[in-house]
Amino acid sequence: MDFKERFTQDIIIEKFSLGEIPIAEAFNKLFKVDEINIGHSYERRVYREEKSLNLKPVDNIERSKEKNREEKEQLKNLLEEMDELIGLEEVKRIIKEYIAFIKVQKLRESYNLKTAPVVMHMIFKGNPGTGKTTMARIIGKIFKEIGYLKGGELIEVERADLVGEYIGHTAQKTKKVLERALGGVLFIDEAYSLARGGEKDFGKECIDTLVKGMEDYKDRLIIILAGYRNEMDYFLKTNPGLASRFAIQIDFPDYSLEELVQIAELMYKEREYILDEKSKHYIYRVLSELRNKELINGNARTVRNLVERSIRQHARRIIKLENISRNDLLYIRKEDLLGEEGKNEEMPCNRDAQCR
Amino acid sequence: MKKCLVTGMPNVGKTCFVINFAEYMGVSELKFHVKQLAGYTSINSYSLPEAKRKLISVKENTTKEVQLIKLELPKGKTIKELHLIDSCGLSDGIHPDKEIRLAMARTLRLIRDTEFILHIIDIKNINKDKKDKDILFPIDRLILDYASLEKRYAILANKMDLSFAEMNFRILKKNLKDIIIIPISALYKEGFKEVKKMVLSYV
Repeated sequence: MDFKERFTQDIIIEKFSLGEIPIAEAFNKLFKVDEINIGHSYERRVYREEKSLNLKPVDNIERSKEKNREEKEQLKNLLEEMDELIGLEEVKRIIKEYIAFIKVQKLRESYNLKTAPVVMHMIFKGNPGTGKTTMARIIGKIFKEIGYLKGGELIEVERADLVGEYIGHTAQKTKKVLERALGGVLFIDEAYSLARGGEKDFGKECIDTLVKGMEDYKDRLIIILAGYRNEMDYFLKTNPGLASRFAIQIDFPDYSLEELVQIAELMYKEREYILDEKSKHYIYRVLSELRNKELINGNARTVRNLVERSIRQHARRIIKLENISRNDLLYIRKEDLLGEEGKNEEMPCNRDAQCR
Repeated sequence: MKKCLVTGMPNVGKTCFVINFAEYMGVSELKFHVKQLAGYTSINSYSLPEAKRKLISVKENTTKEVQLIKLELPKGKTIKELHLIDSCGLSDGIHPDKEIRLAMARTLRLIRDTEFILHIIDIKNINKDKKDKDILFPIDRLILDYASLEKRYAILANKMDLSFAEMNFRILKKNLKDIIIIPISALYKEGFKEVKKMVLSYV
């Protein structure tokens, strides 16, 4: 018996002698009779279970039921939030699968059945703006709701936050980040950059620390590595242990044109603007043109920029009017997007300049 | 040197068993080593009749101290020492008397620390009529659950001299199949032969 256990037992005995707890409670706490009994004699266990059921106060059960209901509602809301995201059907399917898996494991645990360890570290592969960060944020909340994570916060880091400047600095820095993220989701964007520097790069040290952290905090943390598909594949090849440690690898496919338009509509709807018929067709054209020029590969972020710029344009147009009606404030016209086109045509030039 | 704790509910005959068992083992003068709260151990010596008169009573919780008797048991050609510890009885709930609560806390400590536990059960403390209830009293059940798995453990079913004892003993035996139960009568020194045999096997 170790010292600590003895000490706590002494406290319980002290409490008992002060008359704070009855002897049965002292006994149970001291010798953990309930725990010993599990799996011992079937009859005795049944007796215990019956007794413990009888002892439960009624309002306690009701309270826990209420709590359960609340939790379920929360989870439902979060799942709805996830379903509202456009596209990403495959991703949603996988997440729902794992939610069911964790729930079942918890239930099995409550019946003292064997459980498989649940490791939820993930890799998100996909182009920028395909919903990786958004998904990670929702995943954090969902897994908090089903009791896998404590906090459910998303901590977003990149190479600069993890890799230090001198030897030995990196491990410390990475460890600090890991500790900060405990109980939540650690989202490492552009994770492939950790392996890009070559042999002597400190990125390697960072990966080693991460791998260790993943093992140590298996059930207290979800680490999500995100990046472009090809680069991530290369990154996983550089460290043979990595691929096997991330059981869940999710591809975020590019958005199709229809989905992009849906996203744009949703964004306008969230901001309480309405596209009229003409502008709807026009936005279709703008987006398809952008796609054809391979400026966006299914990128929701560009769509957001487009939407926000058009809203600014709309404001500039509206302010010149003498009488501003409600409809004027509500409807986005083709002209607002038209201004866009001019700007969008500038973009390739910018890009070329950068390339040169 | 091995230690053996005698425990059970109040008024089941723990002290009576200890004194009479010591007498059965051939002790002529009882030397009770009593651990005082201040930390030192005092020795109270009694002659046998004196001890019975002073220490055994029909009231509950007569024994409040931890009393220890050193017994010498012949085993083969050597003599082994056994410390028989008599302790305060454990009663259900929260006892109103602070002194007795302290004594019970000491018993709890002893239950934790002793390797060999003799659990005395009053044969009339058995629920035999109501089928939905456990046959043992809650305290007895707690001690049994813990000690039967963690320690060397035996039940001594005391007061077998009572008229209905036989029937109760049969019920007890039927319900606790995998546990050693020895019927005794502490007052009339019955069944001590089996107890001695079992204690010897431990020492």
